[in-house]
Amino acid sequence: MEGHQRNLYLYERFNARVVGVSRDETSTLQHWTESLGLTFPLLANPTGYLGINFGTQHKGFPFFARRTVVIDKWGKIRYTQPGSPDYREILQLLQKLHGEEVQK
Amino acid sequence: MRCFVTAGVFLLAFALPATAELISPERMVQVGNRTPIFSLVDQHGRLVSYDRDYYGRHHLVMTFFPAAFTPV
Amino acid sequence: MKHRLGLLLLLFSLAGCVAHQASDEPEIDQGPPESPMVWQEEYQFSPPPPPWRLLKLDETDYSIAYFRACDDESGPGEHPCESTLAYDEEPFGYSRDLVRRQQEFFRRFLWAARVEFEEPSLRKIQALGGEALLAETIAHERVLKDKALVQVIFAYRGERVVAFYLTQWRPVDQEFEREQLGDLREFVASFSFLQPSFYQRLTMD
Repeated sequence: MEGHQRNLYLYERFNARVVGVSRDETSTLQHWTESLGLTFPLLANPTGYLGINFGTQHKGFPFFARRTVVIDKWGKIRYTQPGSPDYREILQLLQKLHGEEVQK
Repeated sequence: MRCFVTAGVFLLAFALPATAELISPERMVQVGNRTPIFSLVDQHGRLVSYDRDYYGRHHLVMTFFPAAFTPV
Repeated sequence: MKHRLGLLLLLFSLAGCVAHQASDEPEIDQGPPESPMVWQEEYQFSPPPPPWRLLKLDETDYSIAYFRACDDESGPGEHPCESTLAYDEEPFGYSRDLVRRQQEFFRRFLWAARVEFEEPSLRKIQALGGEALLAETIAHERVLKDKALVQVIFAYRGERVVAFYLTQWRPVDQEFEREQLGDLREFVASFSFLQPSFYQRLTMD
């Protein structure tokens, strides 16, 4: 998540935003955000439905598996990758999406 | 009283099929699909809604993570 | 006669020791210690002299680390007596302001070692051809009674902040060897980039 915070200025240049999602309660996320100094939204999904929708809630685990998804501003899913975020890959995609936007 | 019950039954009859129509995760995760709309509360207690905050406005990077206070 | 035999045996065994050690040397051909090393066709630097040895070159988080242990005949012991000298392209923190980045960095640096840092002393210096910040402090592990001398140099690579650091671990009752800080300064002074970074290329297009 630190990588996102470090790249926030680049996300803004590419007209992108970032959110984190977990099954933690908002109060836990509030403490964590403060301790790490994150300024982007961390969404609380204790019921887990968003993770289920994005295929990252596995049976028998009380939390989401790591996964990063990129949705373009036209509502289409353009990237989905399990594991820790590949920040460089994400930046390259956002550069491409911003390019598409500029052309339209 | 009975009309309320009837109305309730009709409401359920129409509402249930919509909520019961769960799209399977496999279909939703694919690149090229439209994202489901979602609204969730963030760490500051603010409601964040995909359609209001991002749709038509910004590209969105969304990282799912297991738990706060664990390495991501 | 007995003495001469004894001496010969000693010499033979020592020769055996030397031969054994030579085969333990890492296979990296860095050339003579003072000659610059190039990594990924992007980073050029003079490795610190022996006994510093290359610990790792990490392509995923773009870091270079050297390591040395104390000369220690008594064995490893309970307390660490060792130093790390490193370049970190993505140091902890986010700010592109050096003082703020330094604060963020020390909130997370060595967090697994459960240390408390004294208030760092800060000094503006020049490094990598531009404005830089030198921070020095001591980390205390009060439960296990260890300490570490920590010096970090925050500098710019394009828009982003990179860091060089030295951490020197000693048991709490041992003196630090400040001469090692000279190795850090020389490492930084020798450091240069042969091509733009990923981030610089990203915003160039």
